[in-house]
Amino acid sequence: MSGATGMDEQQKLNDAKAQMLATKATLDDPTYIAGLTQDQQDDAIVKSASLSTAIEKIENTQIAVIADKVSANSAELQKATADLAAANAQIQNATALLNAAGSLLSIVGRIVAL
Amino acid sequence: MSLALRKLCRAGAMAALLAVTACAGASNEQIAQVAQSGETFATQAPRVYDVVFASAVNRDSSDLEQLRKRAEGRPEAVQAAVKTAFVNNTKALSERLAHFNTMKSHAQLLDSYFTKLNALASGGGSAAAGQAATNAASELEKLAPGIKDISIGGKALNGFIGPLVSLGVSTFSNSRLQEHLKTSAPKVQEAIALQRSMFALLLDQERARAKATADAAVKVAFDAFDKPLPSSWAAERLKTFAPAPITNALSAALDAAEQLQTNYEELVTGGDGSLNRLQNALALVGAVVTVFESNTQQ
Repeated sequence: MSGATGMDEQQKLNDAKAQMLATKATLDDPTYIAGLTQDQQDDAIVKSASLSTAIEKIENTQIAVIADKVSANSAELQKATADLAAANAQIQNATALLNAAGSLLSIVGRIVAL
Repeated sequence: MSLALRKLCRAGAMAALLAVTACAGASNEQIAQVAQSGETFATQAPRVYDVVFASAVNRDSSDLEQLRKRAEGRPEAVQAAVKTAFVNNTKALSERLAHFNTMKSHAQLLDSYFTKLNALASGGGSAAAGQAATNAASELEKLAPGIKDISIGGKALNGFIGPLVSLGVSTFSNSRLQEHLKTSAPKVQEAIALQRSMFALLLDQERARAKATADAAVKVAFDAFDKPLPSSWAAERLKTFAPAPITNALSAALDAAEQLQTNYEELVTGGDGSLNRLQNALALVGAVVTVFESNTQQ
């Protein structure tokens, strides 16, 4: 999917959702419901229930677009973290080497003292 | 002290000093400060997703409860439609939870990244290496007491080695950090941008819902005068225009993500980041999310 096409699709999805939200908000408005006949109220309940699910699904689709990109980015983030871990390890190795040298010199000192 | 040893020590000191002064870009301290804020952001992000999800579940539950109440005693087809919504909305929320869990795992990776960045930049390693070198020099001095007479510029060699090694390690850290920022920064910037995008989308979704409700109220109000008003009219009207509290948490999280993005980018470009704004934004996220968490637990 090209970037532009993806943007167009997202915009269409957003427009459709805005329309659905507007319709559902009207169907659920107590003042609007109070002015309806019983049959119209039944129809409003059925439509509102259906729109409730459709809106949740569209929102999930929008969320999934970013969540999918995040999954792809996670591996790169792990590589960047590993790069820093390697640098930290180099410093720790140098420190360990200096500690070992200190210990070795201490032992040599004790042997010489004997 | 032999002339050769003096020259060697001076050369070492000069090399370390030159390396430090030659380092372009952000200092270790600047990097450490941004990394610490990054850690805070990455630990707060999962909490934001948790409260946003709880808010979505609450809203859906309230919507379904209302529909169920309206469908009571109505034809079977009307009740079946509401029952279908009960099942399908629960599936949709389950999917949303999976997406939010992906975002939370990603935030945890960001946390690991910033923890490592902070460890390299904050100088703990260089201090430890300096201390190890001082200890080694002390042992050497015990072995060859004449060494304590060696001095450079009036300073004893023993007291000189620790700081010199510490400086060398600090220089090495900065050099590795600069190299790291050059190669890995785009992917980390993308990671922060993705978290920012998610907060922006969730905020848009909340605002779209609020706008639709307010627009519908205006549309309905036009005809309301000539029709019977429900007993709950005034209360419902007030509820319509009440701001959704979750937008406060999302606005704060979005601002924090934007500030982190700016500060991290400026580590790469060498700009002077607005760290105070980032820290204030993070404090606000923490405060708002804590209020939501305490309300959820009640």
